[in-house]
Parts: sequence; structure tokens; C-alpha cells
Amino acid sequence: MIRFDGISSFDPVSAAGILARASMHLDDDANPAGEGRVAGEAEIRDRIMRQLRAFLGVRESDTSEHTRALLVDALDEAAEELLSPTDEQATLASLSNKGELPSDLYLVVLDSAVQEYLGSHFESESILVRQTVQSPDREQHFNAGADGEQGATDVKNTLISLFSRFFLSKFPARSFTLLVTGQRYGMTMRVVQALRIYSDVVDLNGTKDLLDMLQRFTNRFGTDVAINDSKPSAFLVSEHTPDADNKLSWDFAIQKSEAKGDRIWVSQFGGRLPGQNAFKAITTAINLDKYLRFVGSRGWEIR
Amino acid sequence: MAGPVLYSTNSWIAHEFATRYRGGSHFVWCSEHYDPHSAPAGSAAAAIAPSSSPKGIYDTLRGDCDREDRHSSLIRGYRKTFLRLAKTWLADKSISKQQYDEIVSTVKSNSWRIWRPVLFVIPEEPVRSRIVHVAHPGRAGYGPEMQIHDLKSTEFDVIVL
Repeated sequence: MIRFDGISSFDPVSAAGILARASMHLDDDANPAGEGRVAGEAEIRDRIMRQLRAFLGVRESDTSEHTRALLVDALDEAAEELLSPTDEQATLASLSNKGELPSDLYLVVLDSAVQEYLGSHFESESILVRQTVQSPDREQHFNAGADGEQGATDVKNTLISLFSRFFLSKFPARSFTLLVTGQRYGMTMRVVQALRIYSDVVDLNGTKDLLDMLQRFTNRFGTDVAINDSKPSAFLVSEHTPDADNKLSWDFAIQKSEAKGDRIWVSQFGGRLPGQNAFKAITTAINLDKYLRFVGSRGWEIR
Repeated sequence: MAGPVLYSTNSWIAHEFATRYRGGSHFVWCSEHYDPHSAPAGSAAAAIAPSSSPKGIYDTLRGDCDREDRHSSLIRGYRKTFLRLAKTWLADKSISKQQYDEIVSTVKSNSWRIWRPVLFVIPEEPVRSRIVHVAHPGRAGYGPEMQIHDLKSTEFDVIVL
């Protein structure tokens, strides 16, 4: 590891900046980010380059591409060694908390309830779910914020992510948007809902966000529920406070049932508000059998 | 004088970093020709190098991402550039150590999604006074190439082809 005389008087961060700019300038002198920022940086850079060439045994007159690449790599390495290492896994987990982790880095697992209702279609559908999470057309994340920051939407401070992806079939009626809802735990995305939305039965025009898309779906396939004293709805946003034993409890009262014997799938996801005991939740109540009958009528295959 | 619209292909993560860490100020290379190679032979546009063609960069980057090409020279170059930029931004205190770590962790991760191309469509008139016409040694070819050093998020549309 070479120790450059020209930067010995600088703190490590400033010295790393000087080396990084030297590397950028050498790699692409048209990039203004490589211009000097500190007083006398041009002279410092000259000293660094002379010292580096001597260290690598490269003549001053050698301006070949190979040598240039060698010098650039050496500068990058030297800059890297000046800074304390980044804990990449911890940083990526922190990005996940904020809803800023690239979605193709998530380990996607499907909740047992989703596995159960998909039944024999689980294997094929889980491929579509993974595609939707890892390469979505749209995504929306609710986060707990950092240091008490509020989330960006009305449903705040819950580690929920929604993803949508359009799957085209050669038969137009079979094309659909898959809407996936997941709860983030570190680098894991636990899928709690995966719903096919066919645009001829659920109007997606003017959908303002994915939560809106989910609500429109429940308008078609939902059934009203009430939580505690709430007004019945198929799509509820509610706040709950744990009891003295730190347990959450609520009673679902199903207000409507369109067909006798149909299964009603109540799905709830949410999280605690930072610094508070309250739990904020989105609750959807879907007539599962009505939905599954409909998807069955369209066909599960998307060929 | 440049045409009424300028085009610039960038990686999605470049747009994201500019939005998150640079107050929405983007550094871009741009061209008034989306596809210089469809320009008439002998024209200035036809002399733009393939590596400076917005369409060329878009198609190459999309292909590299779709095929998850670990030897992609474009992605390798972008990764190195962001690692260097992160150090200079940390040194001038325009980002914190936490933000530096986020940039490093993101570009070093296994994500392909972050490198997907996006096209900036830039109306020329509002940015005309800030266009930098790059002199020949700094260009990849003989055709005209331009930079804008401080393009604001409100000054362009982002398109995914």
C-alpha cells in the first residue's frame, strides 16, 4: 500500500477525496467532478502521480490505455483504504427499513395463508409473485422513518411494500396486473397478498397509487368488515393500542356475505408507530371464493 | 445551436442518487439526437460515437441488465464512478458517512435493477444557457456532445422505453 507524501497532511476523508478526484480526472478528463477542490490540488495531484508511477515502475512518458487503467485502479484502491469500511449488510437492512432497498435484493417468501389459498397453483403463481417483487412496474413503500420521520402517505410508519406488474396474455381477457403486498423484515419480503387484477372488471384508470389499486380491488371482490367500532368497509385503515399485557385484539364482524359458505379472507398488515405503542393497520376483507372463481373462469395460465 | 429537445440516457440509480443526495441536481451528458446513427451520412450527428449515442447506451445497458452481464463495461464504469463520487461528496461534506455507506452498499450490491436505463427528455430552451459543448479531446468521437452540470428534476421527463 503506497503512502502518498502529497496528502499526508490531510485527514483521511479529505485525502480520499483528493485521490478519488485524481482517479476520476485520469479516467475521464471531461468530467468536472474530477476538478480540484482544495487549494493547490493540481500540484498535489502531480506529486501523487509521479510517486505512483515510480511505485508501479511506469515511465512518465507511458500514456497507454493499460497503464492508465493501472494508475486509476491504484488510486481507487488507495482511496478506499483511507476510509473505514462500510458494513454493507447493515446498511442494506437500514435501506430496507426506509423502503429504499432495490427490490431485487429481497428474499421473497410467501405467507402460509397465501400458499394455502393458491393451492395447486402455488408453484406457478409464486414465480409471478417473485417477478413482480423483483422487477415491478410500480412499487410503493411505507416506512417507519428514521428518528421519528413520518412516512409519505396517510398510512404512516408501517414496513409495508406494494408492487405491481402487468402480465400480458395473447388472450386480452387473460391479461392482468398482479398486485403484491409484502411486509419487510430486514432483507426478507414476506408476501401477505398476491392478487390478480383484471382491468375489465376493476377500473384502474387514474389509479393514484398502489394502495388505491388495492382499494379498487376490494370494491369489486371485498366484503365489509368492522373492526371494533369502525364503520364497516372492505378496506380499512385503523389504529390500535395494545392492552396491559401488550397484546393486540380486535373482533372482526363480517357485515355481508354474498354467497353462503364463501370464505372471507381478512388480511391485515401494519406496524407500530415509532416511539408509540399504537399499531396502525390496513385491513382488507376479500371474498376469497368469489375471487378464485373469477380467476378460474379466466384461467390461471397466462400463455 | 442544439435542437429543441435533448436526450440523455442514464442508469436509474444515477437519477435516484441525484434526487436523494444532490438535491435533485443531475450531471448529464446529452445529445440533440436520440439515435445519431439514423442521421444522414456526413452530418455532424452521424459522427457521434456509438458510446455517446443515447439510443446506443440505452440498448446496451438494457441488454446488459436483462442478461445480467457481469462483465458489462458500462455498469463497471458506473460503479467505479459512483464509488469515486461518493468519496468526493463525503470529503466536501455534502453527504454524511451514513449516506456514503448507502451509496457504496447499493452500487456494490447484487442488484441489477438499479442499473436499468432511463431516458431523460430535456426541453432545450430552459437549459440553453447552461449547456456545455464538450471540446473535441473530451468527446468519444467527432460528433457534438454536450453536458449539463446542474439539471434540475423539474427540467426533464423520465421515460422508460
